[in-house]
Amino acid sequence: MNGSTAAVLTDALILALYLGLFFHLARKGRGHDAVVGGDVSFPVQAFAYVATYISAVALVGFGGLAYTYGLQMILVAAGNVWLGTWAVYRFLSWPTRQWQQRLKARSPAQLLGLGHHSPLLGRALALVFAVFLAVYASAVIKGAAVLLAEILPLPLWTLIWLTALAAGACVLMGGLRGVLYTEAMQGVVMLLGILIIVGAVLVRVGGPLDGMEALSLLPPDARADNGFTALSSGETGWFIISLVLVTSVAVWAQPQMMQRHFAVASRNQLARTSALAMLVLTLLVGGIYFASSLSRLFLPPVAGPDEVIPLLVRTLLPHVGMELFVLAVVSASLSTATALCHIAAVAVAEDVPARRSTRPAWLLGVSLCVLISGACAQIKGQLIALLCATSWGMVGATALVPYLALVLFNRRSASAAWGSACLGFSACLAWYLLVSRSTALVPSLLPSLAGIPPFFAGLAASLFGWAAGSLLPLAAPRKTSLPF
Amino acid sequence: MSVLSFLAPLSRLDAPTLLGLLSLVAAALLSVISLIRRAPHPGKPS
Repeated sequence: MNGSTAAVLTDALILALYLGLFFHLARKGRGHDAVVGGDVSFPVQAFAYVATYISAVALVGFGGLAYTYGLQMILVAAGNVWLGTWAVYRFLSWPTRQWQQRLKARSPAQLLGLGHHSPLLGRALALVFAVFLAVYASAVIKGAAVLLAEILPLPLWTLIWLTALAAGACVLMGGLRGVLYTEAMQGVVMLLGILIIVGAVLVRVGGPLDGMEALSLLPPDARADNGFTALSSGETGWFIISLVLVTSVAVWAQPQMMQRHFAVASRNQLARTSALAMLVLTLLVGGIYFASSLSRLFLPPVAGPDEVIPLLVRTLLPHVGMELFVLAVVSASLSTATALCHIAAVAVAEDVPARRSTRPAWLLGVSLCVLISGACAQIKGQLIALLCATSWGMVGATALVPYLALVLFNRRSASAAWGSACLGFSACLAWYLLVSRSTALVPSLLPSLAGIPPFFAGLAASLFGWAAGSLLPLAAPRKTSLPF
Repeated sequence: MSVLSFLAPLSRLDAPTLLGLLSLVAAALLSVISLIRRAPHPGKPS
């Protein structure tokens, strides 16, 4: 048996083990409600939260940015850990669970609709979630397929459909519970893969402190004008800070993240879930951004940020390590894809028709999601690219204010929630299309403000919409106490 | 020579980046402590 045959056999064995475990865990959800799923233990909660949060964009895309901008990207990791995880479990998770139980809501869209006395709002939000998240899932699925092409000798279009079908099969077989279990397993694979590459980088540069010392001696460049161990000045520095806020705050109102709180068993469980999620996230995103920053010390110049992590892996890891890392990044994508597919399927099967889903409706919802995300991943259209790029900000700007008003401040108002969601959605979309430098379809209408992320513009408009809706007579938000 | 001189490379970081790095280290340490403290002990109801 020569070396290449052994490598192919090793690849096949690792992949077979991975898929076997994936589908075994997906089947654990059988017999449970596909939409709600029931309580799960704290390690499953923690790893599932991290796996849903972190997609390949965070690991490969932002990892590449850490090479470009240096150690200042550590601020993004710190924001994700403290704002995106600690604050969520400290302030939002248990109130979300309590409101969900009280309202008997089965999905995030139902939670917001029933919470604000407007089932129609829930249906409208479900439509927004279904469209944006199903298309966003296509980007995530394509990312996984591109990486799988590194270890599987199949054409890209085949890998895209196989990945979409795997995500759909998981949702169909196990519902939310199956999704949570497979995400937890994928979170563990992500952690292993990232620890391998971080360890390899630290050995290469002589340890973290020597690496930082060497990095500080590199001359500054245009992207890191204060050097690679300092926050940049001016627009670049603000870009990093906006990245911290968008990735750590917009996540609060992503429906796939809200739904993770529906599986919280008790308030006591939250402290352990929060601690484990913070630890895993620190090692994952802190580790990859730190390692990628230090990789500037030995990697040759690269054409673009997306090439950094693949080059790093090829440079430092043996074949088996490379396969584990590919599976880690595929896991990051697939776990996010299953979460998005579940939310989109719930929207189609239950939220939009406003009736309890049946087995055929559930099958239709999952099939539609697989078809839309698989088909969108096959084509390169401007509209699809725009939907993918804008999804995170659009959903956040639409749902964040009504969500926080309900679960954090116990304020309930149909008119305020409608005003907030409509203005947040419209302003964010307008900012993306007409103002934002990277996505505007026309020359920016407000060039001096073109650097402001659309999520912030949408959030400001959403707050204004809440205030305006609250002023309507007979519609002032009512404060409702929960028996905490 | 101070026993903490091995930490000298940290002085190369500017204040925001150092704060970010230290907050990550703090998050990891606090998480581990929290998990150990809350781990169920044999003979003690969880």
